[in-house]
Amino acid sequence: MPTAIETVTTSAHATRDVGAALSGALRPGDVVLLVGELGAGKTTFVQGMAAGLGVAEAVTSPTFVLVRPYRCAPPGSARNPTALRTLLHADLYRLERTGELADLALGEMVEDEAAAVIEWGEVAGPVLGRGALTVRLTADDDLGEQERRVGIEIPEDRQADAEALQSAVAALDDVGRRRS
Amino acid sequence: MLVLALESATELSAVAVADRSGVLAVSAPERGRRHGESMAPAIESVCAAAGVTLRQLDALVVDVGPGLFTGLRVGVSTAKALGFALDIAVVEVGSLELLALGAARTWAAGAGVEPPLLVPVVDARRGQVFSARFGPARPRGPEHIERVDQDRLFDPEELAGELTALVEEGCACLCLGDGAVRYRELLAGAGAEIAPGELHDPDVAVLAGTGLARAEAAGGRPAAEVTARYLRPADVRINWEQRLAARPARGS
Ligand SMILES: Nc1ncnc2c1ncn2[C@@H]1O[C@H](COP(=O)(O)OP(=O)(O)OP(=O)(O)O)[C@@H](O)[C@H]1O
Ligand SMILES: [Mg+2]
Repeated sequence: MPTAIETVTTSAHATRDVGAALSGALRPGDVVLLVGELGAGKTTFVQGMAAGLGVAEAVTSPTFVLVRPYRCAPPGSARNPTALRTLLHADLYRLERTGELADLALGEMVEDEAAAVIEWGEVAGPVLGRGALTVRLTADDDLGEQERRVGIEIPEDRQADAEALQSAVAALDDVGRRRS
Repeated sequence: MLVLALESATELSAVAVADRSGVLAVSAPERGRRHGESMAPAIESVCAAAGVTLRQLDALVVDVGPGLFTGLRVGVSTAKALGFALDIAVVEVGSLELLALGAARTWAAGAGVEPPLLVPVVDARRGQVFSARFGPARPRGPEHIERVDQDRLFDPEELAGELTALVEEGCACLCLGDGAVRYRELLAGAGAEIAPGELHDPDVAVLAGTGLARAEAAGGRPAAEVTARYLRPADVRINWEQRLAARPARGS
């Protein structure tokens, strides 16, 4: 059973914080699948991940290209505690056929000290094989306008990373508390 | 008959020129996934070393996978481009059968013992492998092997499970390829034998020889029909309209 971390964020800023916390657990070769509707906060989450890796460039939705590489701060530095050099941001919303995924070669690109984060990642899941991390973002009727449910699934062989992430998320002060 | 063979389905890429007398020139194999940077100069240098020009080629031979997307893309598109430009046919050889063909060459010497079932295993990345099975050809054919199972994508544990069953039935299995190296312990644990080192890499000389024989026997395919075998889940249209219609409209 993969470990599931569930929380509710109360602002875009808080969703970024969770993204930054997750990025701290990433290793080269990782693939993060982002699942959520239009406007759920997928790109917002990626912005947080990029911040956690010391990416200087502003992360936006890739309009024409399907995959954008972002250079991280030097691995092991204060701004990037991980071993990653590159964060690959993919948005599959413009993909027409699952077969085109093969041409993106994301599974191979992450071998170069990189991790990939993929919006509309559920489309890519079966093509990318095993070991992916999944993040589900949902805006529900029982939540406020500024709230999102965030569920993170970590593969079972990453127990230590899951526990570290759990405490990092619990330590965020604008996360996990519901507005009543 | 003169052929140019292009190998780039795994991390090892190489090219060779061969005719009926054998291989005339082989490029130094390159390791890594940057096949795109080395293939064109490698073609130029093997042609020079063999003393031939591209215009003299009668056919192209290419490893069409399954394997690395990045490598296959370069190998297959180079073969297609040359096929179009020179107006010659392209012979497709699969990466798994190529590994089996390399191992089966030693059978020709006829050691007398019953050859094992050949199980090529290519690393598909992200925890998966491509595999197929080949037995000795009966009656003996020019290629020595006969396919007994199609190319498939496996979780390594799933492949190990199938091999365990085969070994229990008394069938000796020999695993070879970069996937056999990566999952050596798991596959050996299933009772399969792991091939010696030199059989794990696709051999461009075997590719050229096989392609030449196939070109002479059956010709090849027009460049337009040549495709890489990615062997991933079915290529389906993503119906975004339907996906989005199912979602409640958000007012933000
Ligand atoms: N708790 C929250 N978490 C994330 N975003 C929030 C939250 N509350 C409000 N928002 C707003 O929701 C919007 C989310 O937009 P974003 O581009 O991140 O979504 P997306 O899932 O990437 O959409 P798309 O499917 O169009 O790519 C932003 O305008 C953000 O400010
Ligand atoms: Mg987005």
